[in-house]
Amino acid sequence: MADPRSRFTRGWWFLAPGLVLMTLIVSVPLLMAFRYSVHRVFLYRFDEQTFLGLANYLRAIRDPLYVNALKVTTLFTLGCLVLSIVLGLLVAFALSSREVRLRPAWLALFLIPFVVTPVVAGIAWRFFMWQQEFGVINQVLGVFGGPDPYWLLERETALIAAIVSNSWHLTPLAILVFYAALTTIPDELFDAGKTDGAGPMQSLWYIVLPMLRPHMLFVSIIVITSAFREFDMIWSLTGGGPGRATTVLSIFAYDRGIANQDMGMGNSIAFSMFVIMAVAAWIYITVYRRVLEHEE
Amino acid sequence: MKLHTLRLAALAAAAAFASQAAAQDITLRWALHPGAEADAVVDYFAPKYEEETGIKVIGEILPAAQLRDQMAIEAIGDTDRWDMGYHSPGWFGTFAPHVLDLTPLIEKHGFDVNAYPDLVINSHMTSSAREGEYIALPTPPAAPMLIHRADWFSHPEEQAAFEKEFGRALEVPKTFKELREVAGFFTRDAGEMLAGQELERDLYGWTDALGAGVGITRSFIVVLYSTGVSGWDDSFQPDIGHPIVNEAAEYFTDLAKNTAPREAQNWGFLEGLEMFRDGRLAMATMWPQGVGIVETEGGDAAGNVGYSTLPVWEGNLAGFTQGTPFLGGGGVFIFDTPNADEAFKFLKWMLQDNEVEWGKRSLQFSRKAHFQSEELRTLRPFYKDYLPTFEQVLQSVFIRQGIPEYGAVMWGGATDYITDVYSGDLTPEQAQERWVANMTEAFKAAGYLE
Repeated sequence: MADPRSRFTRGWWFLAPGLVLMTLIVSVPLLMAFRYSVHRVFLYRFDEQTFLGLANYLRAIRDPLYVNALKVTTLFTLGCLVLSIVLGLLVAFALSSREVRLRPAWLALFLIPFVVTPVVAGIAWRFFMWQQEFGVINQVLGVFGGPDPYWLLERETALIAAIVSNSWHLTPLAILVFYAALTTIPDELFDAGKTDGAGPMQSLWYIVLPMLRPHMLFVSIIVITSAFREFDMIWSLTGGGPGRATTVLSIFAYDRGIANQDMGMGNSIAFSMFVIMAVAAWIYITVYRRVLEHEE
Repeated sequence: MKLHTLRLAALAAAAAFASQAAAQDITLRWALHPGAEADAVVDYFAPKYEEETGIKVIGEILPAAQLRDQMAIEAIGDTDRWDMGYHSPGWFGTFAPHVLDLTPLIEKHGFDVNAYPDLVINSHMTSSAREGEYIALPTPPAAPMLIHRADWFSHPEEQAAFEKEFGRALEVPKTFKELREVAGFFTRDAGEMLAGQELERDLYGWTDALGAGVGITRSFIVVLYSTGVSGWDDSFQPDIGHPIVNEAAEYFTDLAKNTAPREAQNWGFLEGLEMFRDGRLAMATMWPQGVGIVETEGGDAAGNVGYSTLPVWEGNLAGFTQGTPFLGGGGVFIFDTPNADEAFKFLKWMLQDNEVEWGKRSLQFSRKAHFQSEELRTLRPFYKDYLPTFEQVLQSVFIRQGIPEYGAVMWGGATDYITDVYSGDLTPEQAQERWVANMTEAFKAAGYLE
């Protein structure tokens, strides 16, 4: 039997290829982004880089457009989080019911949005769903005598439309994880609940939710990080408009870094997103773990 | 003697073969902007040139939104990926250090610079970033015009109604003030009458593509330049602080919000012209690439499209006598690669030796011969009206400055400005103050201002 020290060393050898790849793929661009973020770098004067310290960050924080983008990003992320988790839970719970027939077909159907490229999904939602005159949503609302708003052109509704469209894309992930987790809950628990008179909603609340908390943490982290950096879906839906109603941080970073070719400012915005996300994820995981530990 | 002749013949054959083989080894690569002109290169001119010379030309059509940045990255990296690139005067500052001075090639191969109108030469062949040189050849220089429904404008009922309301004849607007009035006159709800017929759907007086970012910026900046503003003067002092800028923004916001369809706020380039084609618009600002859309056979507008230059901004600072958009569209520059000479020969063959064919295939017109060619004027029924108007449009266009900061300070600045004015997030004065401050700061950072 190998001694613990040699097992430890061998473990590192197994990890090494992955770590090297991670370093190359993740760390190098990250460090380069940080480097640019503390320099004045314009794409058109790439060889003339001046060290600025944190000046780009200070300029960004003082810019009302950055503050607006941060606010929009936060609302967008929270909206996607709530909608994806709630819908994911409900669909997974419904699918796990014994009465459901053709379950694999339903699962496959619900997974389709996840495999659609966000740009394509955005264009499809823009033209087929949210379009004012012929879009499915207004057609359905029309049947009930509802209004027919310009969803993507009103400041009040554009962000909601973006949240719904992006949640449509993210919910399948939640369905998949929750459904897999639900299959691990022993049937006896549901049977016991039924014996005690619990209906479907009570089973969901008192049995399913407590059992799914670790999985909710996982899904939440994925949804938050995905929504926080979302670009393509919003870009193809609204281009960040109307006005700046859907200009999230990634679009703002693109605007400054690519459209204006100010790579220093663009990278400082992008790097600030990384820092915000890292801190938020750390707080979220820490608090969630403590809650779980406390309950155990 | 016989042997000598044979040897010479063999040598000549070998030389010809070698030259052909060498020619076949040359592949010219061109980064192209999507459009009819790119299709013409890829589908017609490149294969024909290869057939004639053995030199292969690969046209790589890049997505419009990525073209500048992809070319810039390759140019900065000095990768020689492309021998020729799409030239937009607004972008040229980025490429100025990387492209060839074409002057020696123009002289060597006998390219006639004067075949182009003066403003096209100033805008698309020269640049303040490379004084005294020719840096590109024009391919499809473009500037917008005003189109209108000629049949509705000439309808007796419409004329009478307009005269009753405004006390003057219904005519194509000559000023921006008139444009607003006429656009308002034609903006009607479904159920109202138009030219003796009941409208089944809403009708709009005017439109342009007004989508967030590029769309609304392109549309507004056309009005802005018509006021005679340049962005900055020769000593890099911003002139966008002038009150006329805010007048233009307020005018534009009023026009767009009250006479254009709401959908226009989600439209990119040319997207709204289908609505004109389908008979739901009385007027539109049209870039030349859109003429095929509005004149689509079987469309409601086909054969009834009137063409005119953009209206003049009364009291403009530059004394313009017609609307003065920036000269957009583009040209082609040559990167400093070993194939530069062959690339120029190809361009000369395509643009000069086949100039009318280039016009026919690309459906874009820039050379004096294009406007004089009877063959082109009769190529499509509407060209007899369209071509002279486009020629007139090219008489008064704004030439964008060739500094690298143009995109950030003028285009990006205009985007921020009009976005905030249009949405009401800022007053015109607040947005203007920020624009001037940002421009000044950028010029200081670049060393143009102390």
